[in-house]
Amino acid sequence: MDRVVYMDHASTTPTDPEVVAAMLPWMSERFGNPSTVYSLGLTGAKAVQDARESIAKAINADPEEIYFTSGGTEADNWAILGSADAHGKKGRHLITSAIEHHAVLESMEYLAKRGCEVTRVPVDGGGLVDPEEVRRALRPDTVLVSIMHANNEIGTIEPIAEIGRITREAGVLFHVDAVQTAGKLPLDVEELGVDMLSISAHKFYGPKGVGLMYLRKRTRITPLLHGGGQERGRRAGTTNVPGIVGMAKALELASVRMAEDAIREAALRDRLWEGLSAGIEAIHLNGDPVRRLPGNLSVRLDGIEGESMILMLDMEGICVSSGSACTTGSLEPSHVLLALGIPAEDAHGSLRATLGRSTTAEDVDHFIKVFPPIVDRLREMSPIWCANCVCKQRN
Amino acid sequence: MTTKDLATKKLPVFDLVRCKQCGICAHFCPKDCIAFNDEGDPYLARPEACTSCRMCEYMCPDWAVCLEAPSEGQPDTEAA
Repeated sequence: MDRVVYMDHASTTPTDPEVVAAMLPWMSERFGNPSTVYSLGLTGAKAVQDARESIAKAINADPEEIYFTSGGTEADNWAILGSADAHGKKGRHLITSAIEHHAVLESMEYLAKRGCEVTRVPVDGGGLVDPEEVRRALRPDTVLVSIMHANNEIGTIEPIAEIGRITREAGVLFHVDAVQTAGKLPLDVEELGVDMLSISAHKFYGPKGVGLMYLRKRTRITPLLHGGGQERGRRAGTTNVPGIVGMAKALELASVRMAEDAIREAALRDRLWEGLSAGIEAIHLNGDPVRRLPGNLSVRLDGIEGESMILMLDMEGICVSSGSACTTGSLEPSHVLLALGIPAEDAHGSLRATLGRSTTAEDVDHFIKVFPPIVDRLREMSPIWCANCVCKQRN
Repeated sequence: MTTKDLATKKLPVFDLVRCKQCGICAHFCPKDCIAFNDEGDPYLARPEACTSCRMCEYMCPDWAVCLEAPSEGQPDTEAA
């Protein structure tokens, strides 16, 4: 097999050729700054407004509720820091889950160091948040609840609509990191009951460096970026016209293909899991077995370490990740897997394959073929794997 | 599963006005609980097997499925 088998779509996706084609004119002949008053800039402003309307329609929002950012991390930071700042007189308590992306957890940590109190609701063994835990954590001084729509590492889908009903009843702002679900699961801000939502284009075949925050009308949050007054004075910075046009195109394409992609990727994911679990002993699924993103397969293998699996798979032309892409290179076990109750030693043996549009049955079969010998080789070398004793007994 | 369990468990309720009969709800049901009548409308054929996992609710592109306890709404447990 000569081609690269890319199975890390949760990390990033290739930009769709139709998206690239949509972006190019805005990087070349129509390069004007949309904040200017001459026609070269105004055409860009019109393109951005069209993109705003298209995206708003896709998530059942109003166009004026869409604010473009540099990506999901900025949107997460803005939602959390901006809410805490704007509502500081009401209180300084925030609620999140134990398995959020680092962009949420680090923002929360930043606030905790500045006197805020953060409650991290636990998750069950599959990574599910219990909405009643969120209800129990609410206090009169709670200003924000932030729960991700689906986890990037294990793919578990959270009961956002149920949590949204609880926060609405309590009159508390609700932010959802939808970076992993935009373009993959239906998003409707009214049905979900959210006040803020973060999206990142490069997760659904759009360009890197652009995302958005959905901010419900009349929701007060403090701007994160101050400067030239773009985005109605709420998010400064020269408008990234090609990125925004590309993001809108990518979301439009993803919305049309969503059901077909979901069915196809789920079938390939299940094929991959069936093949791996039949051919390898002591392999376990991470995350909820049912409530998970269609293309996500997160597993852990006893007795071997994730990074070595990734490198050896890379030598076979297969790209996967261990834990989240953001933390590859870190020696710490995944906080997500630890939150599921998985011991640190076992958490190090995790691997995540996230399938996408380019994934074929041939790719899956290639993985199923080459992985067992890799596992056998690594377990032979492993000081903590014993084929004849403890590890086997554990299973 | 007892009658009392069925009486309190949250089950899918289908909004047939929103539903465009794409079938994705049934496709993602891990327990094959959802079937379709002669008009192509979904209904909950096996409520006793439903685990309230919400995958039908999560995957429906038209937000035509919502899980509710029987006291909140009537699940469609019979073909129309």
